[in-house]
Amino acid sequence: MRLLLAVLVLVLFPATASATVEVTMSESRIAGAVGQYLNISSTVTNTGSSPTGKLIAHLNVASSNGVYVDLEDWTAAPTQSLPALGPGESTEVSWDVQAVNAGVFNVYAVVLPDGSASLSVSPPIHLEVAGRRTLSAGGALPIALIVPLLLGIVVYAVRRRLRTTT
Amino acid sequence: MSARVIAGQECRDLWLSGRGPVLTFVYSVLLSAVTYLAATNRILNFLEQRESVNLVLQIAVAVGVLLTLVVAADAISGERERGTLESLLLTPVSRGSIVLGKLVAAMSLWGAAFVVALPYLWVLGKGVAVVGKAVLLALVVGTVLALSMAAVGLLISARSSTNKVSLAASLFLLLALFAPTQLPAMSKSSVGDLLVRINPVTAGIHYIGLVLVKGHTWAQDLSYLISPVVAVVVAAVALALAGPRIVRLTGGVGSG
Amino acid sequence: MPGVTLEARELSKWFGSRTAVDSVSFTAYEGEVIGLLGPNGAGKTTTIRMLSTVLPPTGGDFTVAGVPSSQPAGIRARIGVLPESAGYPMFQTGLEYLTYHGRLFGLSRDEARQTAVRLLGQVGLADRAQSRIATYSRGMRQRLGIARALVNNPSVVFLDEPTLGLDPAGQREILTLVRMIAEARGTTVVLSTHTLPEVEQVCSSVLILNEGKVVVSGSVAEVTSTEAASRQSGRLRVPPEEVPRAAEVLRRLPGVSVEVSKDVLTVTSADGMNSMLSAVLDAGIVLLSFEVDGARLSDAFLAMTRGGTS
Ligand SMILES: Nc1ncnc2c1ncn2[C@@H]1O[C@H](COP(=O)(O)OP(=O)(O)OP(=O)(O)O)[C@@H](O)[C@H]1O
Ligand SMILES: [Mg+2]
Repeated sequence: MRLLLAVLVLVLFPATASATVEVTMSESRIAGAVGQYLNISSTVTNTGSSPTGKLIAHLNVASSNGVYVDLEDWTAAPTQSLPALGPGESTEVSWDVQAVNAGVFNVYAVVLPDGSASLSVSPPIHLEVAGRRTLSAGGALPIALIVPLLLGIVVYAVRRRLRTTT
Repeated sequence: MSARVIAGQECRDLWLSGRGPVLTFVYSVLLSAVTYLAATNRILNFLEQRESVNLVLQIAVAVGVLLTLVVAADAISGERERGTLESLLLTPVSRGSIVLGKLVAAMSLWGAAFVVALPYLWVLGKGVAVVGKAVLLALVVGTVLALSMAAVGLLISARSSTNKVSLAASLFLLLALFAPTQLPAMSKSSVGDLLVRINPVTAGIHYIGLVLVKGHTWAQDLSYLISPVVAVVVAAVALALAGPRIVRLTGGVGSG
Repeated sequence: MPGVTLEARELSKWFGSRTAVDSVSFTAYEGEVIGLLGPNGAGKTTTIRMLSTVLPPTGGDFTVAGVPSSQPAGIRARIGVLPESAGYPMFQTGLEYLTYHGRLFGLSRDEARQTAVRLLGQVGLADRAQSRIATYSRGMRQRLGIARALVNNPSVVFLDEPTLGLDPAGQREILTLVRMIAEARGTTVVLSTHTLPEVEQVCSSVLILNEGKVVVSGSVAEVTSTEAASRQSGRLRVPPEEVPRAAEVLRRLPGVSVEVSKDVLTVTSADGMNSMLSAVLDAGIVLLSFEVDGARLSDAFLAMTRGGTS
């Protein structure tokens, strides 16, 4: 719901009004693999001269090549509330995002102010998600066999030593 | 000096004639099973490789700490029961040295558990370049948890009237501390997050997950390590202060 | 006059409201073997544990080898103790065990090993030095325990029931060992036991405890010459119909007391059993059996610990 609202508001009121809140992202491009978690953090700064009310920060993921994005799968808590910021103050906010699909995406944050002031949007992060890296069970199997085997030999040797010294 | 002599003998007893090798063997079988399942299981759709590393690391820490606690919980009450404690108390060695020697011996089991876990972390983590992270997390979080649990185990052991009581009490404590790690998404609400942070075990495990899986930086959630560090400091101080007084011939509360 | 090695003053121990040891005071000298006697629960083990600083006393103080009770580690460095029913690490060998304890008493690795080898020889375990303690017999474990008590060349040795559960040969070996310790080393030995002949054989003095209190103390000769001990007692069995007549015959003798229960007459006399036996036989009464309470110390022991001289 909130997502729709955010998009709606964004569409209806393009960035015209003088934004008093600035949102920046910590990175501009990230590469990962399907299934990987990414921690995306951004800084929200009040650049205006008057204090803000309570703020709401919302993360959004948009596909650049038509891959369907269900935001709920990507992050459990896309919307986070932020404390009110005095003039010049800033705060950090971060999201844990899991890359659910392969493809190229834009990830950006929107800060919705309390009341009638306008939205602030961060520059997007360019996210490239590679296909699933399958784990080679073949690599794990030898270790899974060798380690207990070696320790078994140690146990046997210790037991033997105990039995032979009477 | 005498603590070193005691630690040396206790370690020899544990590793050359005691349960050390067998416990480590069983531990490695468990890690092998988990590693194999994590590496081959394609049914769990989202068991990403980092999550496999995380799973094995959590089990390595949890079971390693458990084994350490079992040895610590036996250390004093077990000797009492086998009738060997009186001979030890009859030496001029200070009670503090006895406690320290036994703590070192118990920690040697965690050391072995850590070393055994390394190849598993390597084989799972090498593909996603998290081996170094995983090893460091195991070393820091695991050692802090193992040390605090070993100290608590020794205190319980010194206080228990029988070895059974000591083992049961220690295992119960461990279970109570570890159980919340299996609850899903406790940290979503602020009360849940507080509970996670207060319990040193859940806090440590949660920190491991954040750094290893969620891609957080080391410093980002360092506050989760407050309670494990506080726990180890408190347990060590309690052991140093109370240990010498409660290492006695008879256990239980209020006896001679 | 040999030096005082052990002095206890008003030593007491309560476990909750139960008194285990009640104001025990005594003194022991160099080279002396003190027998600590008393029935089960008399407080012997508790006394030894307090003197060996593993149990804090509730009251009183003591000095061991010139070290006051306020310095427990100093006392422990100068004493050797064979605890009551001590346990042993079953997987260590006798040699490892003694070497380890030598090191706990501050010996270097080499010194500890040499001491261990020497002591194992002295207690007759040289050929089993490399065997695990689990394979030792009970007597061997007791001897190992005594060897352990000697690793620090102590000036006072406490042995809590060292012959418990041993066969006569094993007991004799231990007693020989005890005598050797006292004579060759000039060590004070405190020996707690239930076996009275043992005390008569090796002890120079005795301390009899009952319900936590010292009932009597002194040299073996002194204790056995007390009035209670000099009286000799025994039990006669006669045919049931003769019991009243036998009792009457015996009561006529001077200084004899008789107690009758069924067909057994328990008699006590100041001048031995012979006159009583002949009186009964002279009266034509068939004597089915008789037994005399043998050791004189045991009379003293029984008389004193049963709370009365009858
Ligand atoms: N740890 C303890 N807690 C409570 N009571 C105790 C404890 N140890 C000993 N006692 C009590 O103190 C009293 C003296 O016991 P102690 O073991 O000293 O007797 P003892 O003379 O050595 O007997 P025994 O010949 O059977 O070895 C007994 O009444 C015993 O029940
Ligand atoms: Mg006793």
